This record gives sequence, C-alpha cells and structure tokens, in this order.
Amino acid sequence: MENMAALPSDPTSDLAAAEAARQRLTGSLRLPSWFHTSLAVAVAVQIATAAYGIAEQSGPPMLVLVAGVLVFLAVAGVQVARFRRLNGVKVDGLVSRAVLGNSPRSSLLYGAGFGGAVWAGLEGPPWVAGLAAAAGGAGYAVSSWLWWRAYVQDPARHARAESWATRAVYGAVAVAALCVLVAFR
Amino acid sequence: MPEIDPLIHPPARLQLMTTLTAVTEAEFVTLREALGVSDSVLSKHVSALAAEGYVASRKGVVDGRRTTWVSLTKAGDRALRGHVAALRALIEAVD
Repeated sequence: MENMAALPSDPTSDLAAAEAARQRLTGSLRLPSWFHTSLAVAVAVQIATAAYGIAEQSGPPMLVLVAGVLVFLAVAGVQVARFRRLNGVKVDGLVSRAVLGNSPRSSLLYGAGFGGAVWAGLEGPPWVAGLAAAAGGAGYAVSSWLWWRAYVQDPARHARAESWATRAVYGAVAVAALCVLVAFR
Repeated sequence: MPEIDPLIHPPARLQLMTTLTAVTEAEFVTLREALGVSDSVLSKHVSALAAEGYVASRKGVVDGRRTTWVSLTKAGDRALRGHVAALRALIEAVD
C-alpha cells in the first residue's frame, strides 16, 4: 500500500508542470542593460592595454597593463552583481562562461584578438593593435551572447560552471602566458 | 531501475527542485513567484527537502534587505534525476 501511495497520479502532467515552472523562472530572467556591450568594451580595453604593456618597456606601460585588467574585473563584477540583484538568482555558468570567458569559443576569440594586438604592438602599426583589440572584444561579447541563448533554451545543461580546480588551471595558464610574454618581449 | 522518491513525489516539490536545476542559487522570493505558491507552503517544502539534504538554504543580505538563498545539493540533483527517470519509465510502461 505504501508503494501505491507513492505512485504519482499523473506523471506526465507532473513532469510538464515541473518543466513549466523552470521555464517560468528562466523566461523571466533578464540581462542587465549594456551587458554585452560593456563586456566587449572592457575586453577590448584589457587587450589593448595588455598589448601596449607588453610591447613597451618597463615603467608606466606595466601599470597600464594592470589597469586594463582591473577595468575588466570591475566591469565583470558590476554586471554580475546587477544580474543577481535584477533577477534574484545566481548562475555560476553565466559568471564562468559568459563573463569570464571560460569556454573554448571565448578563449579562441579572445586569444586571436590578444595575439593580433600583441603582434601589432611589437611589429605593426598601432591602429592594427586597436583593431585587433576591438575584434577580440566583439568576439568575446558574441560568444557571451551565444552562451546566454543556449542557457535560456536549456538552462539545466548550462547553469553550472566547471569545477574550481578547472577554473584555477585556466587562471594559472592565463597568468603564466602573460608572464612569459612580458618576460620575453 | 530508478525508483519513485516519496520526498520529491508531491508536484510542488518536483517543481521546486526542477526549477533549482536552472540556477546555482535562487532567492526565496524569486522561487515563490516562479512556483506560484505562498511563503508558508514554499517554506514547508524547502524545510522538508533541506532536512533530507536535497536542498540547502542560507541567509543573506541583498541591497540591505535580508533574504534566503536556496540551492539544489548534489544529493538533491541525484535524487531528482532518479525520480524523473522513474516517472519517465512509468510513462513508457503505461504507453
């Protein structure tokens, strides 16, 4: 009798109602204003300042490089806080994939922009560095937008971020790469 | 063979746990609006699921106001997957 009592009366409608509740939540989620645009600008600034810092000799250029990183972190932090306040939810996948760019697509687009800007800073005209930085920022923002679209369509699959260990490895690789570039410029 | 979990069996709890799979944490108020239930009903379900370790809740402050954040635990995620698999198996068996 206990087992019979535990059987759902209508499992199809139970599942449909659960899915509808989840869709109600994700359907109500909104990104803060200027989310993708501010990310694009912040990443472009970060790439441009990094390229300048790497291409130039020590002194103020290094401070510019650090300032660029701080600008990006400030924009990222503000947008994540605004998202939480606006929606009353936290989504680690958004922070990791859309804001910090921990996805193959974001990494590739960022890397291409960064590489182009550094090369131009060392060898080419400055306007090419600016163009590469802008392209890197735009690509990053497009990748972020694509993640958001995928999340809204399948939130359970995209809500989680990778593990802390994986994120730590990504961070360590990025810092190591930057150190190598600065050391061997 | 997955089995029906009696703790997730009430539709409101299934909805609550399924909704939590879409986020890392949700404010109590946000969940209440998404589920369309009263404070007391949601509070009872959250307490029952938290007692079994299926969800976690913690107090926090947002813009100076006190709030409660609710999240699905790993145990809750496993239990939900098992329960949903059992429901689907049941549907297939009937069909």
